Amino acid sequence: MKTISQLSQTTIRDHLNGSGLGLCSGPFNILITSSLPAIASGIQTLYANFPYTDSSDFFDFHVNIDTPKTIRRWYRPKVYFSVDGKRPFKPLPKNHALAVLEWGLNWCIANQAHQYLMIHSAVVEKNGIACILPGPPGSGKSTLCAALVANGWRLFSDEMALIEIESGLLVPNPRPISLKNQSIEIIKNYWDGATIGPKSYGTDKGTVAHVAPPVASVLRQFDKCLPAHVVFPKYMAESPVTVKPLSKSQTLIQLVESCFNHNGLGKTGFIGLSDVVDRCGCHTLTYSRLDEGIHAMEQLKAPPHV
Amino acid sequence: MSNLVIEAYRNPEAATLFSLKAWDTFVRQSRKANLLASFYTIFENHGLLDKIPSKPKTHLQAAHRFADKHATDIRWEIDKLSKAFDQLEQPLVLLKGAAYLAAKLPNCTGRVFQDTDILVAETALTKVENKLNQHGWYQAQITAYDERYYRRWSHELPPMRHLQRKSLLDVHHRIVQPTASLNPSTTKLLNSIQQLPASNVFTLAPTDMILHSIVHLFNDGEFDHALRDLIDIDQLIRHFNTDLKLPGKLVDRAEQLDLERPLYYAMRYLRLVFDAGYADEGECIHVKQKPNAVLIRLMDHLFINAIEGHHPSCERKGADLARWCLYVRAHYLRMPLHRLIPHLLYKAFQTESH
Repeated sequence: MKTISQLSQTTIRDHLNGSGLGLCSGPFNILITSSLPAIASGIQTLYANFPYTDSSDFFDFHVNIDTPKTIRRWYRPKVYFSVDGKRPFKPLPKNHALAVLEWGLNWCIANQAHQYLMIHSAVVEKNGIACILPGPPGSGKSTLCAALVANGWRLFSDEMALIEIESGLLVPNPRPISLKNQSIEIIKNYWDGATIGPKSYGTDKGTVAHVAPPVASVLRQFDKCLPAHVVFPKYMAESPVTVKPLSKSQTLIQLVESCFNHNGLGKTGFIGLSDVVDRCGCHTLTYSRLDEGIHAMEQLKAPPHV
Repeated sequence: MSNLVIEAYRNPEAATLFSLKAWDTFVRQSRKANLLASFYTIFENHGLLDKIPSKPKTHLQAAHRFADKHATDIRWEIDKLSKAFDQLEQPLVLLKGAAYLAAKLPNCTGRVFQDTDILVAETALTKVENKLNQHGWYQAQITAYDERYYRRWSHELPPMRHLQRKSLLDVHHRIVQPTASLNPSTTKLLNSIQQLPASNVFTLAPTDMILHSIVHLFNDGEFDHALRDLIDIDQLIRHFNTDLKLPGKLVDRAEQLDLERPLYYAMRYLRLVFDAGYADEGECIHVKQKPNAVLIRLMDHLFINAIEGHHPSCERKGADLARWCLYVRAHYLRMPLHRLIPHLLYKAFQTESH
């Protein structure tokens, strides 16, 4: 399969400047156009192992990220993200362009991909045991996710679980993992050989940088899997590692809160989430050291049906 | 590229021959026109779903699922409204999307809209507003200027929002602004409302429902959904035209309701855009009131640009200007200039200062 790593930086720029670069990201084909060198080099770094397709294919999202044609191109430069000509956000500083692209793609998926039940969570898998790790910002979900991936877990997503409505299968969409503030240094030190993209300073979420998903995860980005566990991670300084069972009813309530389109899917959404809870082991995980957290995750056994 | 939405609407079979690239354009054009979920139903009714490639089909299904839940929410809203109206000696008359849904009309599937619209007699407004307050609908937060504007010059109360469900409700007492040059009588509309089976819910009579949809399209400034609205009108007419006498009835009713000009334009563009066999604008209007040839040429240019060029992939030169002209026209039709200009100036400065 043709991957982005086989393209030179000039070719990537030409595509982005012209009819677009067709990125195959899990179930989504994304056509990206941009005249910004930061986007070209960012894609080359973070999406190197991803397949691409030519612009005559079908694309789920047509996105553009560029500076406006106003004075804001030079004076305190800003960038706009747009999907098929529509701009869902206010313009953001130009040096956040790569982060804006990632947020924009998340927005596209969350707003359009109602063929899936979408839960705000990280998803990882090892030895056929897939875990959904929901968590509000600050719970340490992305950091734990990056550390698990560093230890050979397969990345499905660090941002949202995509669950096929008919089959209940988790669909991988391994995109760059978003790290914030101290997490960037923590993962840099923890994960030897991690490919970390440029930092965006002073965003709404503080400093943000993205880690490229490992080749192994990208190669298997079309391999779906049933979920085995729902684990609510919580980083707590100085705390010993503890895994506690969480009742099915509590888990369901919390999943409803983390689900982007539970309301939009109505009954289908409710049944889908109930199925996840029925099928999975449900736990909370409190940890302070990444290694202990990972060890605890590796002790989770497959529930009987998986 | 051409407007594939119009192509697929006129002949759904033709869509099965689309290339993947054409499907890509079609999905984007339909999404922009708010028609993606409707096309799921159109293809389903023609037994064509199995012939659609999986990628575009996924988009149609996703939109359909979402619209389906939306319809459930609106039906719930209608049920709550009907409970509130049970306690009044007033009929609950639904307008637009909510009416199509309650009456299960073919164009109701796949519609996603924000507000539920109802029509009440002006004399009953206070009573209705109070009753709605008791049932949890309250006026949404607006400025004192906007409040005064609504109460004095508008055809509806300031929008209401339900405290718990956050749903929006527009209570109309007319179907166009009282300051507009057209003057369709609410009394005439209310005198011919039709009760839906096994409920205390009413809709306008078929002719009136169609004319309301027409006046909404041709006198409204929001041309973003012009294509969707024109398709609505076409679907309504085809649904009610079982005895082929509907166009004649529309002409008579338009005369009674002072809506001949909008009907003329609707028939003209239904014919020009969809090649609708029933549409003959020549029958719709007295020769005296017909727009003159220059005006017709201009309107053709504006409407057809706005309707057929709704997405960047099928936009023609001057489409932005056409939409702007129609926006100005709509405002002009709504209010005489001596009222409109101060209002627009106020709004412009208000936006600036925010």
